[in-house]
Amino acid sequence: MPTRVRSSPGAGALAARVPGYDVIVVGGGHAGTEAAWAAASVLRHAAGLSSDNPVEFDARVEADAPVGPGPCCRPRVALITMDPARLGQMSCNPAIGGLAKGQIVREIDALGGLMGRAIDATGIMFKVLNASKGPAVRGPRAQADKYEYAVAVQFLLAHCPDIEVVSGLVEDLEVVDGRIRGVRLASGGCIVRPDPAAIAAFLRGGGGPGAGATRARGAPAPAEPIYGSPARRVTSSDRAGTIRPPASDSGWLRAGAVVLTTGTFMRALMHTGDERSEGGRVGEGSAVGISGVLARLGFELGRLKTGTPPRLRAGSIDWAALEPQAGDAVPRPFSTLTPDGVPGGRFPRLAQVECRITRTTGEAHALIRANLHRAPMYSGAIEAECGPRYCPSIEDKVVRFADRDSHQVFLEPESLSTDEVYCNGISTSLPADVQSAVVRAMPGCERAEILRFGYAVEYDMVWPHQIDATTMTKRVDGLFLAGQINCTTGYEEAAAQGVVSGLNAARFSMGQEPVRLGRDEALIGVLLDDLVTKTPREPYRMFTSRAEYRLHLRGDNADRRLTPRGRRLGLIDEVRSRAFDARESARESIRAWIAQGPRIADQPLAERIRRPEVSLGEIQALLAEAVPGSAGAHAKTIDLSRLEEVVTEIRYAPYLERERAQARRHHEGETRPLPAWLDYRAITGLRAEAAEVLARFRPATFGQASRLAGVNPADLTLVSVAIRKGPTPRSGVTS
Amino acid sequence: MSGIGPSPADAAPGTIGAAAAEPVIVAVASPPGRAVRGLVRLSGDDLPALLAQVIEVHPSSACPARDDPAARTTAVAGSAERDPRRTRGIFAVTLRAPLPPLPCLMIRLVAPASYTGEESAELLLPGNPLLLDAVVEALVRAGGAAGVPTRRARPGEFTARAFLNGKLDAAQAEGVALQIAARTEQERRAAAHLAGSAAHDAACRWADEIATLLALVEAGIDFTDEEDVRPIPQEHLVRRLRAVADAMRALRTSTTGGEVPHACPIIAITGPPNAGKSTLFNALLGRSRAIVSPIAGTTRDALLEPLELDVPAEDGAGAAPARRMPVMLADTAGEEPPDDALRAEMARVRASLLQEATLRLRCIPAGPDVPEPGTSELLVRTMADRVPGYVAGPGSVAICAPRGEGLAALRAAIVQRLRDRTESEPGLRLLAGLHRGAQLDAAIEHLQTSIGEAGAGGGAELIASALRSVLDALAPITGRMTPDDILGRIFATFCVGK
Repeated sequence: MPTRVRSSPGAGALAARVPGYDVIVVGGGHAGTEAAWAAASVLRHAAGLSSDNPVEFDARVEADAPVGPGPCCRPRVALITMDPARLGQMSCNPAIGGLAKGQIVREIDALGGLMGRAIDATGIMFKVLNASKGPAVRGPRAQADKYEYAVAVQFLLAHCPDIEVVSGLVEDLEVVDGRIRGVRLASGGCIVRPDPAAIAAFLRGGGGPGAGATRARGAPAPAEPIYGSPARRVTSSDRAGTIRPPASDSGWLRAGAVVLTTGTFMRALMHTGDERSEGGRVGEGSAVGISGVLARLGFELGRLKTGTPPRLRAGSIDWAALEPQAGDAVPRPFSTLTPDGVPGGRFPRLAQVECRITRTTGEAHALIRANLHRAPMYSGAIEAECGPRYCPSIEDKVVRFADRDSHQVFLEPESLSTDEVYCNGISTSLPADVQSAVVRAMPGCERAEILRFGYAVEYDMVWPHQIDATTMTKRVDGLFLAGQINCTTGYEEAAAQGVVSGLNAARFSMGQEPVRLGRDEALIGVLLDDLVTKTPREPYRMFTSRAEYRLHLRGDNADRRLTPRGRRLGLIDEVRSRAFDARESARESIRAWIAQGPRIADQPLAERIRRPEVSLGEIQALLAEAVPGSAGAHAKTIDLSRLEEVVTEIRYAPYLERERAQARRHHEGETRPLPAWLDYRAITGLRAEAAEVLARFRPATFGQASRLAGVNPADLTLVSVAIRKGPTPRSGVTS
Repeated sequence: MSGIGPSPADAAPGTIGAAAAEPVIVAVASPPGRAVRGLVRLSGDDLPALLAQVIEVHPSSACPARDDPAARTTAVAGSAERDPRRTRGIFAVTLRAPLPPLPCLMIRLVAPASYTGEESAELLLPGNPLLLDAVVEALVRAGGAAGVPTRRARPGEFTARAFLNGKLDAAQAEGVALQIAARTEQERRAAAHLAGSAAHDAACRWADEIATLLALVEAGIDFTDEEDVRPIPQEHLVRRLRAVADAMRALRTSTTGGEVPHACPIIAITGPPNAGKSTLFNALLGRSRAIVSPIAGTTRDALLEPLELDVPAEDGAGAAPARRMPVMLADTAGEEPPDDALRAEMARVRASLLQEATLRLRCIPAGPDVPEPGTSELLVRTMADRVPGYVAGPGSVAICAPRGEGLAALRAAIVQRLRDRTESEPGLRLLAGLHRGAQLDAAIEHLQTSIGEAGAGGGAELIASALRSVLDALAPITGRMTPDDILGRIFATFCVGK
């Protein structure tokens, strides 16, 4: 069945012969967990199994239904992580969403992903950014209880019978004839089963909104990881986590496709001042071997750095003295399954908190300047050339914007159950003594106790021109890369790639053609297309201004844009599918009512509601009056969110039409493939610059090629002529 | 449908990435300059759908080709099916809005029996370059409105399609490829040549200002959670946008301020220093545009000015009205060895201009005969009054520019040379290739939209959308401005990042 194999005859039967898994995902962060989830969904769908979505959680637990591998004859997806207890962990900022990122979370949700559901279940402050601006640029954001968040991800994974969580470190990749065969685990790997007690505790936990209103006293117990800690699992194999050796031969786990999500862990090195330690996160190890394996396979690697700020003890901050920043009075969820998809069926599920705002001082800036030589980025201790411009360390800010004598710092509680506070705004790798002084100079933090010092981490990544927008590497068939390994930053960007990776890894393992999301279809499509057509100068972060069809790629229509396609691809379970149909039909009714609506102030209703000053409430009232009979009663109970979605479409209509026309113009050749046999350097008349760029990037489609810097339309005409002529013996390929 | 473009077909493995139908391409196919008739050529498989929108049929005058089987059968079935939108032949038609409502002749060729192998048509229109360009532009717009992807043809594209559709054999492929590459290179040089002209510099300044304003607007969208970011107050924005719009309109409407006739050939005056080139330049323009002095090397830069030449009525054309041919006249620095930095630069500018020129007027003061120039050169013997009884050799023209002697003969010779050209060369279409008038109009229109939005307190995302369209419209002149360029401006202006 697989047709993409370019190796020896007989390789077509490979997938059938491989014992083990269909898809192996390495790494359990935001990219890895989404990849495993998406792959499992697609494989289940292809196997004709109804998707078993954990929406009715309570019923399952009450019935003591088995969780983990069950209905399938074998688990089809392995999720390998160094520490299963930290699956879904938020390593840095305890928040999901934000400008552009919030829209991406909606897209992930529309494609059946985890992130929106996990944050809805664990958010402790919801706020829509740009709420006063147009719907196209509103960015939902939420602070999470970071422990609850990780457990929520684990909770969802635990309900997927096709995902097997493996604890271990991947040392090597097996590649035969240019195709991935599997991975080798270091000794000590084991399968980890979810812990039903922890699942039950998670379902019970959380309390209702307001239950933990004062964080200082009566804080709830921290959520227990569902995949346990390694120590606990080894000693009590008969209880919480059932452990058995991995289904492998001599350390090798085989799979039809492998997704690598190494995050910051590849050859990771942490710096605080001149103190260095190996590892991608405090208290965790580093994946040293895998960089070497990728280099051996011929991948061009780069090195990046990122950083994290110090964490303070809440009780040591003069909280009351600081300006509060509250969430929205009426929190809005990310997932279209919320509240039904949230354990307990309530949203918000956790008590809501406030953040506080403080600032750095001129005194602290002077101190930073005096100690720059001790910051690894400035002392030359860090090899990586640049970090992201939009996520600078406090030392970067002080150097680059020397005229500012103060920068805002947001103090964000990381959990309801612990008293850690994240200092958003002072990411740093300065030595501990300087960090303490900088923190204590901030108003309200004079006596602050630092629980964990900030640090910079540098790590290896794979230059992203080596993947296609499907996330599959061009060098090794069946090997997919997602997340920070592709030179991106951000949980949402990572998770987005995870969805695409998991989807395509599953498709590849079944011998199906990979799929890409268009730039006109999703911000995720923009993200991946940018990654494979541009040479990044810093870790890539999404901004809405990167999207040429921004007015179309909104958070409010993510489901309309993506769920139908997700459904065709097998990403959407039945619960979500039904929910989508219900929302669609609600929108359809609203459209019909508006179309038949009365004339208001001598204007048709449809014209009237174009005016931005007409509020949703007014429109609802107008509809309720205008619509006759029982439908009128129905119109009174319109979900305002649905109404807003329809009104947004109407208000943006002329602009959307212009974007559509532009999309049609740009769509020419967008998906037309560029065959692998093309030897750009052998094309007569092709300019040297174009040949070089094309040979380096090896774009998969004419659309990608047209967006490469240094390639012009005439170059592509030459390329089409070369394709038409077909492979020549000179290009050394027979087909 | 998921994306707003054509949606991919996930269901059928193997069909992802299948080639979509090529858009209809449109171009002016007649040589540049005014003529009795001009030709607009269209090709593309979706052409019938486009024609259905823009062509009004005159059933009585329809003249389908006799050998066309479709025509033979439909002749019986009735005139409605003798539809030029689908049948091969020559038809009298009327153009419909948004095209100018003109009667014209249409030559219709049906796939695969056409040059490109696709559905094709040629419209015979009055030979006014501005009209032809307007028709092309309107066809592109009408296609967009009718859901038929339509765009201007790229250089060599009709030929490229003929090749891709198997109308040319493989042996011709290399030739096509090289031709396209060469043409593109010419266009690139032509565009580069524009750099330094007043109009180009102005466009770059506008693009820069618009990009700055867009960055300020975008900062108020993507970075509102940053303390340091202050969105630009709307009244400042409107004021600065208006200033750009006013400057654009001024250029667009001025007759001398850089407005360049469409599709016109460049005629470059060249020769040794002090040969009277600038004197000839001024004489042909009828005004003192270039500084003239007896000092060798007075002209250092290249000057480019529009000029119209009278075209005599053609033989046998009866009382054909006098026509005028628009050209660009260029004065260049004298040919000297590039022995210092200034002269090297002068030589570079001169060489780049001569490369684009359709015709070079090689000025050599009257005297002993010199070798006859090449086909793209016309030998002009200047200062003929200084050699009493001087008679120019064959293929050359003698003049005395200050007295106006010989200028009429020179004009006629230029027109004759230009009329001899049958093929339009992109290099000649220096400015037409950039469709500058249309681009500038589009830029002004989008700018007006952005001003309207900003003035009415419209959403930042709508203002940004219009401003991006302005930059896209200017892109052929100024180069493309990418989202990264805009983000770079934001990062350079504000302290962004928590």
